[in-house]
Parts: sequence; C-alpha cells; structure tokens
Amino acid sequence: MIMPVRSTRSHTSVANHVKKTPAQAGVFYFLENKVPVNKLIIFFLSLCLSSVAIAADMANGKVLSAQCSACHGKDGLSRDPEAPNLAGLSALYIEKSLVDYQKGARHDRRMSLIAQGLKKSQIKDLSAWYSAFELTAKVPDI
Amino acid sequence: MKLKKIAASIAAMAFAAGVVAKENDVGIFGTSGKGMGDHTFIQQDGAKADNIRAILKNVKMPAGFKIDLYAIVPDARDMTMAPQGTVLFVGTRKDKVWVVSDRDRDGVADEVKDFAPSLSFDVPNGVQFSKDGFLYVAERNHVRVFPAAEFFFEGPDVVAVDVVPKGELIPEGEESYNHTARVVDIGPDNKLYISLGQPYNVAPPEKLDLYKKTGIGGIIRMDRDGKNREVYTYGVRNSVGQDFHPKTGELWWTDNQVDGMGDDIPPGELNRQTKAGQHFGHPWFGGGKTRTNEYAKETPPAGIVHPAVSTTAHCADLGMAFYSGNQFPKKYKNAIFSAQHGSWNRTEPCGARVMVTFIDKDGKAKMEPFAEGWMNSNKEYDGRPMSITMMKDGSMLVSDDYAGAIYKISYVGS
Ligand code: HEC
Repeated sequence: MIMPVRSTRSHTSVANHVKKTPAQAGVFYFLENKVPVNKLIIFFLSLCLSSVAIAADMANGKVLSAQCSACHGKDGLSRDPEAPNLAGLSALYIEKSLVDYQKGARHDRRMSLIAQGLKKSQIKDLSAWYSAFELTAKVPDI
Repeated sequence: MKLKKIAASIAAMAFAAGVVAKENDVGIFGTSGKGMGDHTFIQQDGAKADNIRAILKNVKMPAGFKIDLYAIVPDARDMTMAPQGTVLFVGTRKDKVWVVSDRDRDGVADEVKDFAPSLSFDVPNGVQFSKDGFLYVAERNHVRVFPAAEFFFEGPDVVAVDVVPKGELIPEGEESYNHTARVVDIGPDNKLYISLGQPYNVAPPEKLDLYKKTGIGGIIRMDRDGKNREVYTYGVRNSVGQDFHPKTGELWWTDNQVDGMGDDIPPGELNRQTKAGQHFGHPWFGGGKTRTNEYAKETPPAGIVHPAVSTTAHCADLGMAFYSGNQFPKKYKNAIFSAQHGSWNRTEPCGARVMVTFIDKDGKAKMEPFAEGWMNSNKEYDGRPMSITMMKDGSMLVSDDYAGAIYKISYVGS
C-alpha cells in the first residue's frame, strides 16, 4: 500500500503545529492592541504551561489510529462511504470534531460512541498523527 | 436466451410494471435524459493487484482450497452472476454498479467498468439476477430492473424499469445515511425480498408504528413488478445478507447487532425464518437474547424468534449465500458461507473472515471460521470480506469493500 505518510516527522514539527493554535494567534492580538506587559507575562506563562500539557505524542497517535483505520483507512483515506478522509486535516479541526462528538455538539451513530472512549491526550495524539499526513490532489480535467 | 424471447419478456415486464421510469432514468424504450455517459474502467494489474495478491498469501483455509484475486472492484459489496455465468454485477454503497467480465474465460476477470454510466445510482448496494436474466438493483430508496442486462451492459444507456419508484421504498422523510444498504433476492415463490435496515443504533419508540407498517427494520417482499408489497420479516436491526435454503426454501439472513453495550454483548446473528410475519426481536432485543438498555423494562411482543446462530459480538456478519455447487467437498453442500466484515469498536478486534455454517437435518446450525487472515499482526485490516456469491463452476466469490477487490475461492484437492 502506498502511504503518503511522513512517519519520520520530528517532535519539533509537532511543536510547530502547537504554535498555530488560536491561543497563539491571540498573542498577536495582545501585541497589536498594546496590552500591559504584566498581563502579557501572565498570558505567556499560562501558555507555556498549557503547551506542556498538550504536547502531542504522534507515535502514540499512530498506535491509536489502528482503531480508526477500518473506516478512515490506514492512510487516512476513507474506506467507508459515510466516513471522511482524515489525512492532512488540521490538528485543530480533528480535535474539535472529536470533542464535539464527545460532548454531543455533533452526533453520529458511530463516531459518538468512538469518541466516548478517547481521553483528551489521546485526542491530541490522534490529531497530531493524522494532521501530519501529506497529500497531493489531482484536480479533474474538465 | 434467444433475443426474440428477451424482447418479449421486456415488453411483458414493462407492461406488468406499468411504470415509466422517472427523472433521469430512461423511459422503457427511450434513452436517458443525461445523454451518453462515459464508462470508467478499472485497472486490473499493477501495484494494487500485486499488493492484494501478497495479502492473500496470509489467508488460511481448510486443506485443498485456494484463493486468488478475481478482480479489482472499488467499494465492492453485494454481487450477482448473470445467468450465462460470464458477467458479474457488483453493487456499492456509493453511486456505481460495476460490471466484471471474464472475456477470455480463464477464470480471472479481465475487464471492470461501470454499468449504465448515463444513469444515476444512489447507494446501489443490492444486486440480483433472476434466473430468466432480469437484473434487480436495490438502492437507498429505489428499486429498478434492467431486463437482459447481461447482453446490454456494453453501452452507456440501458433499459431500466422502476419496480419501486424512487422515494417509495421508504417514506422520503425516513431517508438517512445510516443502514441504507439494501439487499434483494428472489425467493422460491418468484417474489423479491428486500431488506430495509432501520437507521438507528436502537430504534426509538416513536418510530415503531411507522416502521412496522412500512417494513423498515424488516424484510419486505413483493411481486417482481413491485405489486403486492408486504412485510415479510419484523424486528430486524440492519440485515445485509440473505439467501434461500436450496432444499427447504426457507429464508436465512444475517443481522448486525446493537453497538456500545460492551465488547462481548450482544451477539451477532444468523437467522432462520420459517414463515411470513415472524418477529426477530429488535429493538427489544439487541442481538440474541440480550435485552437493550432502552427497552429493558418493556415487554417484548409475543413469539419472538431467536437466532439460529449467535455469533461473536460485533464481528459484523454481513453477506451470505448457500453453497449449492458441486466443486467443494460434499460436506459443504447446502452449507452457508457468510462474510464477517470485522468489528470497529471492540477492544480485541474480531472478524474480517469468511465463515461456514453447517445445518443438520433438524435445522440446527453450527458456524465455524472458513477463511481467515485479513487482519494483520497489528490488528489492522488488510481487507474486510463483505459478501459471497457462487460461480457456475462451483467456485465462490468473496467481495471486499475495504480492499476494493473480489476474491475467488476454489477447491483443488490435495
Ligand atoms: C465505524 C467507522 C468509523 C471508525 C472506526 C472511526 N470513524 Fe471517524 N468517522 C466515521 C464517520 C461515519 C464519520 C462522519 C460522521 C458525521 O457525519 O459526523 C466520521 C468522522 C470523523 C471525524 C470528523 C471529520 C470531518 O471531516 O468532519 C473525525 C475527526 C474522526 N471521524 C476521527 C476518527 C478517529 C480519530 C477514529 C479512531 C479513534 C475514528 N474516527 C474511527 C466513521 C468512523
């Protein structure tokens, strides 16, 4: 099977994606809007703490993804007509979707059950794994 | 069948059906409004085929059997062999019916293309040929018949006649994306039997009256022109496998059972139906004799029929067919071959194998694994057998909608 997966991706690049969270984007908001420095320091401190907490373990994501591959495919390309591809989706979106299934904001007969069984850290790991897949698309020629 | 005879039966059929296909379907002898569609051809050799052949080396079967790649067919589900035995039609849960032909008759398919590309199909999972050459296709909410499809599949346009017009298999408001794969078979009474899965994990109380009336969560039967529709089976959750016992004519069918109750309950089912109108327990029972949490306090209807075989929970028993050929050893005559698609929410995954069920003279059934090896050592699927059909020479075809392939199992002896 051809797997468009960059499995050698290092932890630095995982950290990269962590940097792209909206919380981070918020930093620029603070900077642009001249927020007092002491508030900024507190913000950065809390950000560091949460970064530590959310550092994703892609290798674990790979292990966990065995339970997803029946429908979403080992290569993140869906094998089930009702299921979407996961390969290359943004980590944030995967995470949000899984949390939404868990909390009931989004419901699907199967995904809601699957998400019930996932811990927060596992959601991060899975999101890191699938978001690291690289795809190329062939646009139809019409 | 002679062409004159075919034309006569088409005319008879069209007359009996008394319906002209609507929408983008063709009229009875007209052409499609969409014009000529181009065929899509599926490549049969190359890396994908090599990869599948390598996986098949892991498949273990009783001595004397061998398995080969028959064809690469994307999303392959239910299958039906045309009466002459040269062309196989394959349903999908997407928008295509595939035609698989073995033109050089070497026992391996050499061409796979889409059937009637000028027509649109919506979850055309169920396909069935009648002995006299009519192809029935059951979609999410539509059943059509294609007279003499075996001879007319080469062109993009084919004759199609509504058996159940679009939107009338189930009320349109009940259309969903869950459990919408139908199977259709023709009984010894020459009627169509069509499974209608209900869309929930456990059917909710407010739907039960409607479902009972329409046959959702059941199997319905009707004449081959769609007349005299009635509910034949009640209390089904989602069946995508059925066949008639070659000797007794009884309908046997598999059912997929309730999710989320734990790894080991409820069991999957292989059911034996002995008369019209029997009730098999859903939603009061989640599978076997396991009661659902939702209906734990309710009294189930009287006379529930429990399964002939309770299978390992969540293995997903799907397509099935009786073996009536002569190629396999004698003990397989009139046994059931069925596909376990494999679990998706079980700590220890199970399934992805072909099972065989032997039925003794008292009707007692015993199921055991027949072909295994599509789950690799990482507990990941390399394939997921979905359905079974038999070839004229007594070999067996197994579809796999995960690998997108059809395998051929034959008996070569020792
Ligand atoms: C039984 C099949 C099945 C399995 C197994 C499965 N999924 Fe899904 N998944 C689905 C279906 C079906 C949907 C679409 C549901 C919907 O309409 O909301 C989905 C949707 C999703 C989505 C939302 C994607 C989007 O584009 O909106 C994510 C994320 C997801 N699944 C992740 C996972 C992960 C992670 C696993 C393994 C832990 C998993 N799934 C296992 C069937 C499955």
